[in-house]
Amino acid sequence: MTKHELTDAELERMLADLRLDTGPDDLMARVLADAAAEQPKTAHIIPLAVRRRAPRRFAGQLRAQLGGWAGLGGLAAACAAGVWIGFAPPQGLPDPAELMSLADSEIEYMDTQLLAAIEAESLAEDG
Amino acid sequence: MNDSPNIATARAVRDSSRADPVPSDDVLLAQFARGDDRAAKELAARHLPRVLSVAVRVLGDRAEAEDVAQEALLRLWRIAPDWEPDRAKVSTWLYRVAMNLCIDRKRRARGGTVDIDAVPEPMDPAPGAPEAMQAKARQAALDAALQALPDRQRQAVVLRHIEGLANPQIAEIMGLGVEAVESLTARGKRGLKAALAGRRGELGFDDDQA
Repeated sequence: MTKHELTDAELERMLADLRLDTGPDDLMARVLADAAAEQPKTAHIIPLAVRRRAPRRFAGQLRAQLGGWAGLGGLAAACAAGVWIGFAPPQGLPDPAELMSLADSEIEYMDTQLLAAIEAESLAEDG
Repeated sequence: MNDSPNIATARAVRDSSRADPVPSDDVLLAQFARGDDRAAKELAARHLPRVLSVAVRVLGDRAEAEDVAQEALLRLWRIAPDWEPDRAKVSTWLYRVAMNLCIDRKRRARGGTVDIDAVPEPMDPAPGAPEAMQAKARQAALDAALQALPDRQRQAVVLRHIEGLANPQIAEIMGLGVEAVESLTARGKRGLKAALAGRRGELGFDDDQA
């Protein structure tokens, strides 16, 4: 250190004296005005729990329209019954698989008397 | 493991309800993002004076420093919804933003060259002036010497010796290693001493002590 140079302690004391501890009121007002202007854009944030559920909202609405879980259960049972009837029709109902094997043109020109005659003939053959 | 911002924010809010009389900056920021305007007042009261103080000493211009401080806080309000508490301290983040804004303004103002002539001359102490005048003269002389330092040295000296921050925090703010910060601070202080050499009496120090 030269004779006229400041010591470390003197320099550090001078620097510490430069510290400002208060800001002007009008600056604070400007900063808070900024905060108020920005806040509405951020205040609509959806809480975490709600945000996680958001993608399910449409499914929930659909379920409600169909009558809740009970309605969905009935719908599922009806669908299953329909599928089963399709594969194994009860006695008295035509078998859809056999119907599909007949040509549309044949069905079109068959009248009930002809069907009765065919049925009687086949019964006689079986008997 | 890094949590998502939402989880970290939810945790910060949850923690705030656990008998903590002084909410942390992270909690206040989360409250601000959820619409609590009192949180903004508390955050500004905590940080605005510090950010302004640093900007004044780094820029050497009060009006510009106020603009920088306002802009730094504005960026804080905007990042509030996405704030990740585990990634940075609010104070460190604000200092870093303010420092970068100061650097941008300095570069723009001088067009890439250091304009030492633009640094205001220290005030002459008036004859018979009381101690307040000497304190003002001392501050003006030191301000002028600070402004003549290279940017990074000035930032390091301001953060270390005016704001009293620890070297690791300064390193984080400036994006440097701790050793680089120590080196910048030491060189900055040497530069200040050289600039103020021969003016001990003017600055109010007794020449006999040197």
